[in-house]
Amino acid sequence: MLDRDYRDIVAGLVISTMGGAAALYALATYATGTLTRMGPGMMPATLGTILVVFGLLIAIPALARRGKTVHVRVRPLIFLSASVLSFAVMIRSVGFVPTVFATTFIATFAESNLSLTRAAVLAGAMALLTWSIFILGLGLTIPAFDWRF
Amino acid sequence: MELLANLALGLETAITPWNLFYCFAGVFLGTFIGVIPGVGPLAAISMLFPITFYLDPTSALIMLAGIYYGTTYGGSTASILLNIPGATSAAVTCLDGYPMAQQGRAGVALFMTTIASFVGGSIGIIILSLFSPLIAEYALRFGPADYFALMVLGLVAASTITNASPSKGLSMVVLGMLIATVGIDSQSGAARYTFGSMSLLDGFGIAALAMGLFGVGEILTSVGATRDARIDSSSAKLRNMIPTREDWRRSWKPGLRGSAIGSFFGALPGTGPSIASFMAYAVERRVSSTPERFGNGAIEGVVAPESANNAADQTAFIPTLTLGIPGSATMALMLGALMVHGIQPGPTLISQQPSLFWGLVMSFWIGNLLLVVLNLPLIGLWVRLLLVPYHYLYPAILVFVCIGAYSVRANPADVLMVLGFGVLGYVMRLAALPAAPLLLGFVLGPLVETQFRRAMVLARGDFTAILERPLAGTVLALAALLLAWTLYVAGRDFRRKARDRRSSRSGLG
Amino acid sequence: MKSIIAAAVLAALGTSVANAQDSFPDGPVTIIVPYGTGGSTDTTMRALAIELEKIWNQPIVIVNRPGAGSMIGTTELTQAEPDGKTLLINTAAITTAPALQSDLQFDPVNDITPISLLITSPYVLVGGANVQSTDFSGFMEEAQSRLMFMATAGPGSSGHFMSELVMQAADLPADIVHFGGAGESFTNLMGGHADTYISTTQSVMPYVNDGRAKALAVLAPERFPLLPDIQSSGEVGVAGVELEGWVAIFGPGGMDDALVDRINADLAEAMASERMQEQLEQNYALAGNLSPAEFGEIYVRDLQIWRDLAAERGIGQ
Repeated sequence: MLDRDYRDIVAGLVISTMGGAAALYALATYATGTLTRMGPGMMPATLGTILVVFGLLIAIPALARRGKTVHVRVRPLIFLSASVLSFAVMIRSVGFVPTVFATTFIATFAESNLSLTRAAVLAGAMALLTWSIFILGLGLTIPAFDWRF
Repeated sequence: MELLANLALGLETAITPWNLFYCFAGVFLGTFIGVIPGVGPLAAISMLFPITFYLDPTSALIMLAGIYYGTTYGGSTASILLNIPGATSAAVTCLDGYPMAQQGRAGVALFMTTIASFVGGSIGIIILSLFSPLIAEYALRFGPADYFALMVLGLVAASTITNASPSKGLSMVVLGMLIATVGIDSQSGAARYTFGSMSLLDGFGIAALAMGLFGVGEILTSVGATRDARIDSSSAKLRNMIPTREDWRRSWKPGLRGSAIGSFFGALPGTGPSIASFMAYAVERRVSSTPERFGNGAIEGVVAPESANNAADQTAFIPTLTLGIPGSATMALMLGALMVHGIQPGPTLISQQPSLFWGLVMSFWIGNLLLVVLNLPLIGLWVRLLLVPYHYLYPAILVFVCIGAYSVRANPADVLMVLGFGVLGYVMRLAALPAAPLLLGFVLGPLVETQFRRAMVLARGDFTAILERPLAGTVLALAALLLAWTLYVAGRDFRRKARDRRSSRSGLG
Repeated sequence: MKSIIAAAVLAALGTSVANAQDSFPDGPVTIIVPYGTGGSTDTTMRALAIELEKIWNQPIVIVNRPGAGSMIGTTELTQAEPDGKTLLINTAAITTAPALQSDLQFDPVNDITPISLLITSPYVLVGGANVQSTDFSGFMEEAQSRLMFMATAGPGSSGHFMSELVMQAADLPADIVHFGGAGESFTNLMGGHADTYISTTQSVMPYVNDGRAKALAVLAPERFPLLPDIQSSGEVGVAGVELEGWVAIFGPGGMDDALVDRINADLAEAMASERMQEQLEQNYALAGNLSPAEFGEIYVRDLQIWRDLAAERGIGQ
């Protein structure tokens, strides 16, 4: 237990900050227009301002409340992000099959349950499965292999 | 009697062996493609659209329609089992479907989904065949001001769909609306919050948002966490898939209400089906005497949005076919399939192409029937999917989500957006911020803004002119009443809670 | 050493380009459709592809890259090799969108090669349920007595620019209201929430034919031969609105002239096919039949007209 609900305090402040930043950016960059023809800045500025209020409504009551600690697990976050990133980076440059293989393989490291061999087998199986579904079956126009060396 | 003759003509068209085959092929393909996490109806139909070039228009539309509700249904299956929605409607089903699956009631949830889909679909079809021209006529009366009022009512009604505190729920609705402003502004053409990126010009896709917030967020939360034995093989037994008498008792009213709500929203060309399931869910939660069960595996929370969604899927064909105006991107594709063959949808479609229109109507119903026949036996198979150890399952889901996101526009940036929303979803879970209101704001926000700005142009900046419109005025008054009531109930509950706390404290002391 | 390799590469490229028009295409041709699957441009392209495959004996891969008023697909074209094996089909939106979008990542004149004008048709002004008059002269009077709302398919669409042009040329006290595409515009016309809409014959004639909208004027100096019953803007004395809507094929900037001519000729052949002629007839449209240079002039001229109009009327500011 913590003496204050820091989780909600932080969440509220982050929401307020985001809303405030969005509203200020909108006011500085986009026209707000007239009542008849509202400009692109009107809605974002209004929404941002409302967010500032709601953020404070979340944060202030949390000051007077006890809270629980929040645990962030870093390992899954890193490996799953890397896995999705690898897909985005590779799909245009090496083709479908190697991309799927890499994405699956990297994702398995988010947990320690699989041996390297099993991870490789899973990645190979996924590459084959997705290739047959999407390229063979659905005719998606992505090259299966696209090595440019 | 004319209707009977029409239905007979339709049946005649629909049950020719080839059309039956295309209907079955569509439903079958759709179900299996839809179950793949990350592939929604739009992606599936876009991928299979070219096939229709080689079929006659009736068969082409029958098959596309089969794919449409096949994928919608399959998408619900994936949502319930894995919490990976590929479309808005499926995201609503997640809210209670996934908790049910975690409680070992996946079979029941899927069973009731099948029944609810069939009932919703059938009611939608009845309305489609009885009232098509009438509804189309009436829908035309809805101008920008009326749509604005309707969207406001929707926001008020649905903003408290989760058990989170009002300030958290409402802040997420507003955040969703803010996220939806990214991209080219529909009323001025200005690029908002794009920071010079081409990929952001069209804003964020609903599929990327739903898959990221719910799906990837779920994976990030579950991977590496201690998992209680998710499901044992007993839940795949037939006995545990049949809903109890209690389940049926709780379900029939939400199913009918959901179908009615779905039919209404589906038929409006300016809203589309995605709003229907949110509204049906919100209504059930409001009329329920035990709203706290929602979000924790309430069967009503699965039945209502599913029946609404399927009813809306059917009535969405009303504006598409009789006005030539699609309510959603998927419906636009259906229109395309007709225009490829030189058929122009419009008020004269029913009289000029009676066999096409009534053949479609009947094939919709046959398709829904096939969906039941096909899927009831498959439930056991789907539930067994959960027996696959999670450390094999999650990399596979992640890959499917990536492919699904990429396949829509062939843009790697879309995959990055899914990741971004996934991380956001994870952080929101850590902070106990609900994801469903964010999605709601994202869906309704652009409609509220666009219709309001249009309405103000048409009213020359005079807001009272909007209130004087009979439709808009009535709906806005309703919204105001609902808001007042919500605030009253929230205040009452707050006081009651405070009193309970005091009395329990004094009891202890 | 480096320069020798570079020279060799250049030489190799040069020969391959020089021979390109003889052996073209020596592999699949990708055609970018900057709109969604099933839209009118997409369906036109799919029909055309069937005919082109017969002429080229090579598969044609259609990729849909919708978004940002066709600018996402167009940008992708400008990043492709100018070997003729990546092409783009687009409408007049390729000339209007650059007038509104300031942060384009390409130069519409130098990074794009106009190849072939496939289809042309005049723009038609149609009126909705609240418009009483049935022709342009009547409409001009009506519009002086009551504020007209001109519906568009979105800011920066060709209908938007044409509406602005009509307001300017005819001195109408009208106002613009933007909808999301032709469908939504027509619903609001039929419901009487907005008054007029401008688009090409292909888009508006289905609505005119079954009475959902009234054709007020063809925006041209004289009546359109395929629609002789509709008044022209010219005969009512409104000048300066005589632009045509079109669908055309483009390549990346810097394409070899001989190759462009070759593709232009092949496309003309495909457009002469029975399938495409039938489609043209259905849509009250004409085949383009211009040389790449002639079409290039129209393209550059239209770009300039829309730029000037946007600056003059403060569009997108």
